[in-house]
Amino acid sequence: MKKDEFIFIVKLAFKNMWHYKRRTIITAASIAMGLAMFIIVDSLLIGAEKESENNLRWYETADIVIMETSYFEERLYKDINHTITGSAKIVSRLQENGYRVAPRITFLSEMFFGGVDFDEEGHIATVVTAVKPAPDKEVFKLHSTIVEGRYIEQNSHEAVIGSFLAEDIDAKVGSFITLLFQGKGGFFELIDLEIVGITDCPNPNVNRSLLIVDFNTISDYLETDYEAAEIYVSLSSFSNLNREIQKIEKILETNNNSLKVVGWEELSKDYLAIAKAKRGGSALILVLVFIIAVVGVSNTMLMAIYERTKEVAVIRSFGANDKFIYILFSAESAFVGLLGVLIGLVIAVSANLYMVNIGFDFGYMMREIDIGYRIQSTMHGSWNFLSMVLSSMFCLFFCGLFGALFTRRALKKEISDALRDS
Amino acid sequence: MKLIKIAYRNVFRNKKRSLLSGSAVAVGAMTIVFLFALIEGMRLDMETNLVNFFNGEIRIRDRDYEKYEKYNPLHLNIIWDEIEPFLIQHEDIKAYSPRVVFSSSLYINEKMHPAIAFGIDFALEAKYQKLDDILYEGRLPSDNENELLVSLALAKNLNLKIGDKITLLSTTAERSTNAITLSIVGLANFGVDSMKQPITWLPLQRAQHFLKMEARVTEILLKVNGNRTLVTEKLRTQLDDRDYEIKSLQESDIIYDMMEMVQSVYYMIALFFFLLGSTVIVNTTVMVVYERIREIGTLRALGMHNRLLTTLFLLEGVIISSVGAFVGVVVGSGVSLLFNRIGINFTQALSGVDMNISNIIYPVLDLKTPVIVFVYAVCVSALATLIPSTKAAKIEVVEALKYV
Amino acid sequence: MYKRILFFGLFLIIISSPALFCLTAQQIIEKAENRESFQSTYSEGRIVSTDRFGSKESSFKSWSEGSESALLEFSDGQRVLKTKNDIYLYYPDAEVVIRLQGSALRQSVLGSDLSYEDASGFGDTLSNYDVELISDRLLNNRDSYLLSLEAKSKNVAYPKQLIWVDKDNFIIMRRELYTKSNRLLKEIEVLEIGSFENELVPKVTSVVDKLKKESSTKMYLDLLHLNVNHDKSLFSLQNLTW
Repeated sequence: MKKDEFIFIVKLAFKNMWHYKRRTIITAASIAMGLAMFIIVDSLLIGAEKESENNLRWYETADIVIMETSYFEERLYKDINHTITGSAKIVSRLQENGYRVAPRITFLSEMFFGGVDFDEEGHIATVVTAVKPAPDKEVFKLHSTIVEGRYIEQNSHEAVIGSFLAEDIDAKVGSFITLLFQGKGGFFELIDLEIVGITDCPNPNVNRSLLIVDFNTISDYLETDYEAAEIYVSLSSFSNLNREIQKIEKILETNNNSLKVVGWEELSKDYLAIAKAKRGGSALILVLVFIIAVVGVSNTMLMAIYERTKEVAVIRSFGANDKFIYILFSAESAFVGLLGVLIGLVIAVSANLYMVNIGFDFGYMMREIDIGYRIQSTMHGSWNFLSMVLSSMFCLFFCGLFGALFTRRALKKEISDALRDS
Repeated sequence: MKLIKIAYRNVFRNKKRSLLSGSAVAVGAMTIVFLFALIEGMRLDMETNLVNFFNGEIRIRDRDYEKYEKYNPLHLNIIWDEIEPFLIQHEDIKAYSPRVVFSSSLYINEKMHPAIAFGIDFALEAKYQKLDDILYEGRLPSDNENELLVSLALAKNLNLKIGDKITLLSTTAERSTNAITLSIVGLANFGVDSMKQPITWLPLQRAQHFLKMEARVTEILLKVNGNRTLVTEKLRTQLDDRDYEIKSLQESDIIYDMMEMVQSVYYMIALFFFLLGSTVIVNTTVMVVYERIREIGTLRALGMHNRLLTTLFLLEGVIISSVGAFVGVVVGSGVSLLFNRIGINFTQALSGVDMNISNIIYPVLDLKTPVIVFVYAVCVSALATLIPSTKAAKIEVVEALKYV
Repeated sequence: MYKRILFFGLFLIIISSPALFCLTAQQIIEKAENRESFQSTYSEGRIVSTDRFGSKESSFKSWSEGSESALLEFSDGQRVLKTKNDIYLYYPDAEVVIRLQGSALRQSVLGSDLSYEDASGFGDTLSNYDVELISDRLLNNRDSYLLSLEAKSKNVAYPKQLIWVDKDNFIIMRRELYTKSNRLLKEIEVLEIGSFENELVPKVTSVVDKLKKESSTKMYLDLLHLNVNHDKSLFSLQNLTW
């Protein structure tokens, strides 16, 4: 077949499509709905997972952590006797290489509350996180989750507390608490802190236990020579975690061999295990959506094509050969498919814009029960371009295929039989 | 009515078309029924977890326990011997689980590891819930023996196996400390939380001895017959409210809020499916009508009223969608019931999750769902037939006949 | 254990000599510590601890050898063994002996205001602290020396202390434990002195954790035998579990 003929047929298919507007629109609509639904549900499910992951990375683990090997192995016990020697140097080295770095020290303490600020007096074991406010803000997003008061200032005797913890002990902005802890070597020390801010971040784990104090101030009390116990690094969203870990290991190799550079995934194995399990559930939901979508699309297309058996017969009776018909109808199906996909994408993208930027707010809090998913009250969508492209392409392919298959069916019939059907 | 007969015949005459339209309705209905069963199964799973492991349907504790909960106040307890006779003969109480809950440390390799410990009466617990389901490996501890169950998370994190002996330390009810050595006889799955939390179960009597609590417990979980709220109220009047705190599941707002939240998420997903299913139904039905515009023209040319015409189409639509919805609902229900028996194991397809947690969901079909879905599907199809057919009926006969 | 107050060795002869008025801080400390240690003793007593939830009493028996070894047995069957460097806990229902090290030593004994480390003794003051005699003070109408102690290293639990040593009997009548920033953590005070086998020893001692409200502990010495012959194996791990 010559090129001209081919183009002619394709143009004809296109015109046909517009001619039978209603049919086209209905078919395209069903394709659009199917595709849009699939993409939206996928977006939400991945969004939930992503959000959970973000909650972990933005508020708990950052992307990469550097610790002394001995500290890492016993990291549950937060032993400040294993701080990183030469932290300042490490931090500046990494910063020179373009990373955002935040040094921290965490330790166990007993928090005492009481007096005029509180209704009740008591004490509770707490993990205290000492941060340098400025760099910490570049690596973590805790400061943007402050709901009352403000973030701590450098060199201050101030503290920021998670909302659940605040509720547990009935703390408010302006309340004073006292921490009893042991410095490096084992000596007891007390520090009084004023609560200047309360955070309410989407990570309930953090909300339940967070107590932030200033790094420099606490280092004086701990007598740790301003060394950090943990150095956190955050990467840009498109970096490859493992590659960056290797890069950092190279940069630091000249410095110290007893350091361990760990990615956030390794730090949160428990989260990942559960995420994997939940993924199974998401997959099931997607499969169901897929079934409905496929059925919807195929049925509509079947109907459209089936109804045109007569048309096929008429055209054949006018002398068109099989090839002609194949191309014509396949092309038309493809065009309709394309239209459907485009409309579907428009719907999906607009819905996604809303979901990603605004999201669905549930207004419920997750407190005592930790089901592993770090997620709180708002569900956001996510942009999964690969998924969108793949499903769109699949859709197109599917439509074209259908067109071809059922044209075949139509061609098999005797012209006279076909003409008789109504 | 004659019209029905015509409608009937029309449906069967155009088998292919009817089949297409009907099957769309069927598939839509089927997936929605299944999805609702799945959601209900998930919700039930969550509630069961809470009821079995943490709150019961109703929970009885000492009045002041909650206030000092963070201090692990074992001395704020309930005298089991006093309350047991009352519970046994109470007609509304189906099963009860007396427990001592305490925070402890496991002394392993000269290091202390925190764990939450439950003193459980295994004989009573067997009547309270299906204990075989929670056991992953090994066996249940025998009451009065120094044996315990540990959660999978705990076993994994501390490299514990069945047969290992571990020493548990805790503050007792007398605010001194005590330690006890127990053998691990089983690994268990204590509900969703145990995937993360270090939890152990030991025989109640041993816990009481170890914590110097004689015949006392920190909480009693109840499963009841009938309405939980009513029974809770009843218990409050029957038991001395001054000594006990009696709360139903709904009132433990923390827990319930979470359940409600998750439920909302699930219902949102269900709504999506409803919409999707509906669009499929609408789509195919509308398509059918438009394909038959020439027919419409012909019939009108023969003298049929618009209204009659629309009714005819409506009837056809209803017949097809009823059959389709019926089939869909039946198949959907069947699939739900099937999986209700065997369960859907979400973790099977996942490799690399070396914990082998079985998170099996059993879809639950309630009687309302198939009926509602059926009615809904038929209504949607009817509407989907009605509107376009009304429109189509209004087209000029000449136009209609020309339509190809 | 708190047995350190129960130990004492040499008799202190109070000599009214000019030398006395020029006692240095170190000498005072030495005298005070000497009287508390280097003896084999057997004693019995009670610990009463009070917190927000009420009061609780335990009785104990104690064997000690010098300042290094001690064995304590409580009425509930719990035993504590102190050796030179470690503290071991034995519980009747446990099949292993629990060794306390590091931060675990700062846990409280029987829920009292005293930690295991506190109870092991405040001995060895001179090697851990720089001492300074501040002045003479009257404490409960008795003449005492007020000394201030400052830790020499970071490894010492209490960076600062104030102690009142009785001029007559060189018993440390009061001890205040401080952080480096002079925050008071605990107060230990001898409320009553008793005489056992012609020795003056603290009979009733109170320990108060100043951070916890309504929390205090009192120790009562009911019986004390000195110069007891202990079997060496008494202070072994095997004996602990027997």
